[in-house]
Amino acid sequence: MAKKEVAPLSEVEIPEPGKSLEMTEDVIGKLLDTSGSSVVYGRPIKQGDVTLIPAAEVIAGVGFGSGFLFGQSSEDDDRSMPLAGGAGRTFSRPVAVVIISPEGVRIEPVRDRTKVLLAALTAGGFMAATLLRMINSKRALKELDGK
Amino acid sequence: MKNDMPKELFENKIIAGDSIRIGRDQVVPLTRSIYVPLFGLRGCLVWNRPYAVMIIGEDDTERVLPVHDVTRRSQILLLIAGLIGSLLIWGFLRGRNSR
Repeated sequence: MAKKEVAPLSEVEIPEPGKSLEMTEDVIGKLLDTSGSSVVYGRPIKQGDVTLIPAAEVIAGVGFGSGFLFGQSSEDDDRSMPLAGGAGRTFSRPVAVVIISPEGVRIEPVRDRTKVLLAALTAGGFMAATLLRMINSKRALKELDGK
Repeated sequence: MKNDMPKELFENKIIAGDSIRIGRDQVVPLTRSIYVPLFGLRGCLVWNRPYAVMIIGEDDTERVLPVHDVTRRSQILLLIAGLIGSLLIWGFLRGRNSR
């Protein structure tokens, strides 16, 4: 099996001190761009006389931090290096489709049956858990009275 | 257009997108944008969702069609129903247990 070649450290691009914060800002800015208001409505799709515009909900969460790394590689070397890092996530979900036809404009909602079913199961679970808890406490009370 | 770095204040606004000309009407998509700063300036949450579609007729009349999120509404109603159901079960059985 051929060994995978790893680039030597000298060829790896290491950002200059002070540039890491700029890079983090750049990446976070790009992530926020993916969740901007311009991506909520997609490109219109034309089919004959009918134009469809998909609409989606977009949520993005971003967090970042920065600090300084103090180090000394030799007696004459005493410097600090700024460091920064961040992470983020984007979610999107289709909400509706705008249908434009010669008859007029109408909005058709997108129904996600899976999410609704999950919510129903969660609600049912809450109620079942409450019921079981109350039945168990009633049994415990009866046992105490019986003793 | 590049977004700026996270801002300090909470923002809740409606943004109009690029209008589309269909026949004699102009269709303007509207987005509700909510920006929530987290942990000071160390993070943020951006929530954009379709709000409505505005149709501008030839005679400058405006008609607004709201976009309803049926899935989200159903989820919220079901969760509220579960919570109320749990409270009712708890209240009913608690009364019976105490007798």
